[in-house]
Amino acid sequence: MQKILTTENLSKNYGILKALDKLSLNVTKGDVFGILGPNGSGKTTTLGILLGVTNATSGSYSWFEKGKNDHLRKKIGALLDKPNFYPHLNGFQNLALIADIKDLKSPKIHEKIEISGVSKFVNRKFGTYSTGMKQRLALAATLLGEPEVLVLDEPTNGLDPEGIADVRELILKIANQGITVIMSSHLLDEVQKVCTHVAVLKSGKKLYEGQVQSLLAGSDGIEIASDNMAQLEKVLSGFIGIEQIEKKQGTFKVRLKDGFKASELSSFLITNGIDITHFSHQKGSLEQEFLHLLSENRA
Amino acid sequence: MANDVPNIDLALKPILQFPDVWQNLTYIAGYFKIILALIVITSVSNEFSYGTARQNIIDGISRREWLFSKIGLAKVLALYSTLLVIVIGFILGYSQGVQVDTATIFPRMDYVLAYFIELIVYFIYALFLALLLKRTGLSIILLLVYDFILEPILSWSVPDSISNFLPMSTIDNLNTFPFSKYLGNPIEAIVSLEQLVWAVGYGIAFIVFSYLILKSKDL
Ligand SMILES: Nc1ncnc2c1ncn2[C@@H]1O[C@H](COP(=O)(O)OP(=O)(O)OP(=O)(O)O)[C@@H](O)[C@H]1O
Ligand SMILES: [Mg+2]
Repeated sequence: MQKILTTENLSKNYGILKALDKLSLNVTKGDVFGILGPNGSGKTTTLGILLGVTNATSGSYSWFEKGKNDHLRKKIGALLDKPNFYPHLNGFQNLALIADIKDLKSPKIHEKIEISGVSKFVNRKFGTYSTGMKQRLALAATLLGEPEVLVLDEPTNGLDPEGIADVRELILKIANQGITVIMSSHLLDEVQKVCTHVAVLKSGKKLYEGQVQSLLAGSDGIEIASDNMAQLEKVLSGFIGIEQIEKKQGTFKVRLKDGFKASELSSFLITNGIDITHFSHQKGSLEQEFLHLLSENRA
Repeated sequence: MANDVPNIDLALKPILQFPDVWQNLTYIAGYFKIILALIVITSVSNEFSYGTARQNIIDGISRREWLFSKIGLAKVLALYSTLLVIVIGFILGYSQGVQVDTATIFPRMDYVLAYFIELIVYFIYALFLALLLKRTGLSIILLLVYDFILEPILSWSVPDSISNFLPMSTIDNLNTFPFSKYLGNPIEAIVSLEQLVWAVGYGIAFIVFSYLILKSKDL
């Protein structure tokens, strides 16, 4: 599989603050790679380094296995932090300028305008745009020049619910064409809905990198209650597939080890004579997993 | 002192005639470079306040290319000003009602070249200030303060052999006040090659400094 991006021990210090601490990542062609982390965890810093605007303190990165030549970014559609355009030019002129920078022969500007839903205001001066309009124009700009990779820093920032849905749909559509997407988000739900891979950052450190699926696997929770909670607890702790038991308002919340099924637990309990009054299987959410990761790594 | 000055009738002096017109006109035109330098400063600072410098880099050009696009602006402004001065010079020269031929038109046109160098180096200096400070107002203030206060003070406190080669003096010395000759004082009638070389040197130095600033900073 073709490597799109590799980073090795990428670090960025602002004075004594380690905004990014030895980050190593691997992104393969076709991934929708989420960089997930709370505010200030180093997402924008990471993307800023990868996009050539922030100088790393140490470490290295390579795009398309070709290094970090500035011109490689012509094949990347990127939106970093906030949309940046010339306010006295209209949307179309701004897009034309970017097409020019990217050396595009036939930039298909109108097509991108259509896809990103900016046609209604594309002839207005950028300076008059609302936050959401700016964000959409920035998305249109990232699509210019048939990029091999999209790098999106919180792409749904500032959009209304319809806009958020549109953008997520757009990202999925792009990903379906085989284009690699690297996006940052602090919204777990977003990463879960859109991404195939995720790196979780906290205070500049990587806590997890891998498939979203495997992060979720084994994270399914089971809620169990019985009339005799003491007996239930005793039997539960005798089941070998238990990863964790948590007592919560008259129920037990159980997480199973990898490879154990909820049905195995329920038949185990029944054969051990437990009178189950409540047994519900909850799909893991990235949110729980994320909070779990963050709390495990609390300094 | 005033009675030492000979009673002169400017109308009889060849101020606007070839070839004096080149030296005199470029000297006067030199004052207008400050206005154009403000355009350079505004253009560069805006790129930072709009975040478009950052976006240009993100979109795939290098910092060096970005810098050279701005030097291109300096070049264009200097070039158009020079062309304008040439056109005005010819109009003025021909309208003096004096017989002209190539032998009278072309001497002193070295001052036109010097004017071009003066402008482009000054604009590159303005570009450097704007990159250093990234703010329109601050850059303009520093430009004016250095030009009219700091360097003059500096000039007084060092010998001429040094002060002549401070950046602003170097640029200004390409064409020193030419009108005193009409009062009987002889002046340079040819651009000093040494000053020209220094001016070009400053231009290159400001480009290098600008590049280093641009390279070392996060955008
Ligand atoms: N120019 C700067 N100077 C000093 N500190 C900075 C600078 N830029 C970022 N930081 C610090 O680096 C850390 C990481 O910031 P960064 O912008 O990468 O976070 P983020 O993950 O993008 O957060 P958010 O979700 O709020 O966008 C923060 O602590 C921030 O204060
Ligand atoms: Mg950010």
